[in-house]
Amino acid sequence: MMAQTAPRPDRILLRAQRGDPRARRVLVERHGPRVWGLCARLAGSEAEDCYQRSWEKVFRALPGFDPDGAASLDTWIGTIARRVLIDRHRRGRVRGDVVELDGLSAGEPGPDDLAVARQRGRRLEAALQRLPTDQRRVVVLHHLEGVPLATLAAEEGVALGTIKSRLHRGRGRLAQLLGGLT
Amino acid sequence: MTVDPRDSEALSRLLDGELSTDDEAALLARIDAEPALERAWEAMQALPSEIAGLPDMPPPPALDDRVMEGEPERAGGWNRGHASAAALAAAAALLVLVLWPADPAQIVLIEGEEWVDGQATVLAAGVPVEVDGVARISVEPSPGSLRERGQEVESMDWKHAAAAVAGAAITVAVYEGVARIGGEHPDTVEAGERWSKTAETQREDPARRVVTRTGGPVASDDEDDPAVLRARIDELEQALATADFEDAIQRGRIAAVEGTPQAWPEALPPELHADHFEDGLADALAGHDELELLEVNCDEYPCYAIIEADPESIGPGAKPGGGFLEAWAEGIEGDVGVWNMMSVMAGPEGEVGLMGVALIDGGGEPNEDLSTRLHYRMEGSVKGWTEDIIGELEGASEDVEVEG
Repeated sequence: MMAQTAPRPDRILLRAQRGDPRARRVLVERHGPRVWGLCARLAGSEAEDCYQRSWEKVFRALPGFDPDGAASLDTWIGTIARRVLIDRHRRGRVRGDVVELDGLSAGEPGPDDLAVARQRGRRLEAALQRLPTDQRRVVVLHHLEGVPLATLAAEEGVALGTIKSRLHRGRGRLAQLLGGLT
Repeated sequence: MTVDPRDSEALSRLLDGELSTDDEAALLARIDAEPALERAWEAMQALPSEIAGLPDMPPPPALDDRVMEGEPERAGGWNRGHASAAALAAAAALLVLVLWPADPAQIVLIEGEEWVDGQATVLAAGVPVEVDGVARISVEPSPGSLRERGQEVESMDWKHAAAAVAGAAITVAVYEGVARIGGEHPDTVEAGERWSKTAETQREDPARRVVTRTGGPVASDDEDDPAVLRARIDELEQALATADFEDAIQRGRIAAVEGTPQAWPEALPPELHADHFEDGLADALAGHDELELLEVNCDEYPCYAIIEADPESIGPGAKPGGGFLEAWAEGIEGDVGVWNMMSVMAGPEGEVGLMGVALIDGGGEPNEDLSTRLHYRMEGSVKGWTEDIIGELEGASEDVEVEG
């Protein structure tokens, strides 16, 4: 039996740009977890809609994407998802979700390092959800997505000092929530 | 022990090298001397890499199908937060409760400072402050109150708490957006403006106020003296007014936490009636052996159920049971909203995953009181079941150890 060669990524992109649904499905499967991570963390109860809207925009703009340009496809898709989130924020459609944590003190460590790491990750995710949306957006986009603060300021249309202030308040709150746990 | 918010923000600035040399030296010295601050500093230093290390999340499989099918938005549109049970169920190490739909935060502030960044309603010393933007709200209890410095408000009796609240100084500084302060005729405070109500130090001594009002000190204890009688009547009226105020504060605070019982709507889809809810839920759960129905509560509108689920199936964007709740709601004629609360509790013998589910009649945004009340009811059940199950796990573990 002959082994089949997997299609090269650039050919998948090319086919996706031409509208091939199977190629687009591959893109969704490859890059979906990153987009969903952003939407689930930052769009609250509208995460599914954020995800769908992001992909609608990606597919609409995909024919114009330059594979030889400065941004990789992953970065480009992440940027579109980010803009969807910021657009929604500007229209005031994202509201603070009620997320309650009854105590954040550490439980007994798990039986192994993996369990402890998972528990720490959950605590961090939970603490992030306690931040006001403006602060959470800056913290996540800056530290998880690596977006420079100046870029965030430009995208959100606010002063760099405002973004820094949100970052410091957000990180300060996280340190308060997590400080007793480490 | 907690760290002051200003200190934790300063730690963040220290991390980015934004403090002056003097401030940096002073903060480092305090970090060396204060264990709580030291722990917060350690957490702060670890934050960037911990956040950067958060994993991507696989989206719900059905969601990718919808993306590929270009499925039109669900009835009700994008904003129907209560129609979507996915989203950010961030499971915490101890207990995390996430309630859909998204509601503006509600905060009760008796003393201290609260930053609002977004939309929130703060009950600041009994005064409602609606913020849409960025604002700092601070409450300083009356200097004459009986509150002891450092004592937690929760440990005070209501009489003392109400006295502290009644004369409290309130300051609202708006940095972005707008704040509306007060009830029927609120004061509007715009960005860059500050609103304040000064402390009322006389409130603690009503008798003295009565004497001043009658024009001079009471010189006699003679009960026939009209001035004495007038002073006593005024004193009693004052005490009555204070008691009414305290009662109103207490009722308001309880309502803010517990909500108020909801009346059953007259026209309700049959599936949402107390008589049919459990049967409908049982049908919806058919085939979902991974979900165990623990409780159905129809004491008030709306009915809700508590279901045990695999803790691994609970997380950001998760739909335990593969969206059975949405499927159930979509099969009901009329406009029915889905509510969902999830929790994961880590006990010594493992994790317990629970979800609370409810169906709400009518479209649009549910009223705030219903949201508060349902949250309160579900939270009580979820906590109770969690404690029971963890107790059973521990008991089972002990049995195994004895037998071994």
